[in-house]
Amino acid sequence: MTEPGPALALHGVSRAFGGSVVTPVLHGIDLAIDAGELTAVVGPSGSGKSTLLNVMGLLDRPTTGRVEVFGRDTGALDEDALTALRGGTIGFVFQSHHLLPALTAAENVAVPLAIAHGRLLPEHVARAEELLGTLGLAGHARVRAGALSGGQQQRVALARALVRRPAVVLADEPTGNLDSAAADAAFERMRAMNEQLGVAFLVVTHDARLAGRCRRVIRLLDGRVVEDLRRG
Amino acid sequence: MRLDLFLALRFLREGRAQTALIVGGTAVGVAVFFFLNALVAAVERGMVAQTLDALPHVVLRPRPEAPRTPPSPDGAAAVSHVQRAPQRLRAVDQWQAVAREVSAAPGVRAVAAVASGPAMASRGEASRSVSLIGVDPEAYRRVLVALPGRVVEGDLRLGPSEVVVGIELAEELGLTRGDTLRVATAAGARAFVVAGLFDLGTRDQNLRWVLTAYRSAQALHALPGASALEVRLDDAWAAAEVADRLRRRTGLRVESWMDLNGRLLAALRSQRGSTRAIQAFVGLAAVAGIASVLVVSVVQRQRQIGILRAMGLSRGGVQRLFLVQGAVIGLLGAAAGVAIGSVLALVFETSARHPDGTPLYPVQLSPALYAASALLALGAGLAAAFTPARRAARLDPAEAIRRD
Repeated sequence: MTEPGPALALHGVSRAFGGSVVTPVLHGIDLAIDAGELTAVVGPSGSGKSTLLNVMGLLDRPTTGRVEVFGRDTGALDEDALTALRGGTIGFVFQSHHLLPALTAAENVAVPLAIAHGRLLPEHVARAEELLGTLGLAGHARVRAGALSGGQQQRVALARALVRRPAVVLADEPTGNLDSAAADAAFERMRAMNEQLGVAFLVVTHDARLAGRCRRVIRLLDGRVVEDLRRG
Repeated sequence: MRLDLFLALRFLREGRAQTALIVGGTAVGVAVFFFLNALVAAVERGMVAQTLDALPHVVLRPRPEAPRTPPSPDGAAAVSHVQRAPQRLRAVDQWQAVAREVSAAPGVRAVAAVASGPAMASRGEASRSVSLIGVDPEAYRRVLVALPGRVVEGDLRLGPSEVVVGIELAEELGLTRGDTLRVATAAGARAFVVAGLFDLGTRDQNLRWVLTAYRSAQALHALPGASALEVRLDDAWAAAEVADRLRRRTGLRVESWMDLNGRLLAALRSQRGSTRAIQAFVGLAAVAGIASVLVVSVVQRQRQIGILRAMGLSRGGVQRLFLVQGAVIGLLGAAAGVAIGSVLALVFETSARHPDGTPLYPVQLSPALYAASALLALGAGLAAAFTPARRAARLDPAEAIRRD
């Protein structure tokens, strides 16, 4: 079934922090991410990239404006409904991967499926192992996450983000802790998943080289979108 | 497997040293609870066996005689002083009917009629003030259940001319089995043969009690019937309540062992009270220990909690994850603590023995005690986890992920 509207859309979104002294971070952002897009978000430190990602990922609510998921306004949703929508629609990849070190690679990948069902089933782990296999980690599925290399952890994190077939994967500096060869490989894996699975990727990166390989580049400066470049 | 249980077990396994430490702490708490309960129950049973099994739980007697004051038509006092009436030895009115009613009352196990009163026992030149108690041995051994086992010489046959006396009276009067003892009451005197000696464990009973056949005592005290009904209950601790009920139903003077043995009651109550206090402090220490570990765990795992929230785990799911950790710690602590407590209780039982080798305080490890220990530990674990779990559930996921 085709969902109506863009996968994620921001309408006039602003976000400010603080109590008596308010610090605005995002200013009136209008942005839409369509299904299957591969988008880079670039900008200097402090430009609001991570805050933008948190708001788009429904981890944070905007101070003003509206966030829509497939045309559905998320502003009226309570915390549990927002959490459920986030779990089913959005995947996350973080710079430090943030795997659960007590779990094996396959268990880490299976956790989102277990969250959706309330229990961890053998088929969840089997599905996770299959996905890890497609990412070249078949032999590491039962290794503790803490014992994997940085590149392997990055692949596990990618598998975890994809296991529920989300509409969008939000990746915050996913190659930031990798050397250039590993970063290239990681980016190519994301691009391959984007093409094979049709999952939209929104990648926050400082690496202009990688950003240049995305079909769309959004440049942030001081909390505003100053450039939204699409390539043919 | 449930996700919260799966993650809780993995989190606990990851922090093995921390988990072992707090499970150990909880186990010590449970062991103290378990051992103290087993010990106090054994000691209490021992004390009860030594004292309450050698006493009637409830005694019914005629109400004290009170002088009648002349009625005054205008309400003014007609007399300025009323002299208290001397208390004659009297029988319980319609004692057989009362005994039947008391026997049928809830909580009553056995009733024995006694014909007792003051007397003077003498042998040769020596005499002692005693209480001559006439009983039916068959009925009486069901009320004073310890008595048959406390007859140290002879037996409780109690023929019409026989008495059984305490060892201290025997010592005072130089009596042995087969000797003749002269007993005098206000109504008469006669000689009895000493058929046996008993040791009820208290000086007063051993020095003052002279047991004989019911009819013999009744005749010597010139009583028309039983002077008292002595009662054994299913639960000695219900004596005050049963006594109240019997007082209202019979109109007699009804006293429980608690009324008659204030010191013993105070000792048993203070023992129970101090045990409860120790258990409460041990329980609090266990709760504080588990809570401190879980608070540290929440702080250490903030980012992981944030990630789980990002992946769709609800606030309730996070809360359950920490509550389950508390419950698992509690149950592991209960298993270890009950094992340690059982060993301690058995060591105690083995080390405290009578000269004949039987345990001084036989320990009974009841299923209820196991269940209570497990529930205590589970409750402590859940109570301890409550605040850390709420704190974890309230974490803002974006903020939690950002934190180092």
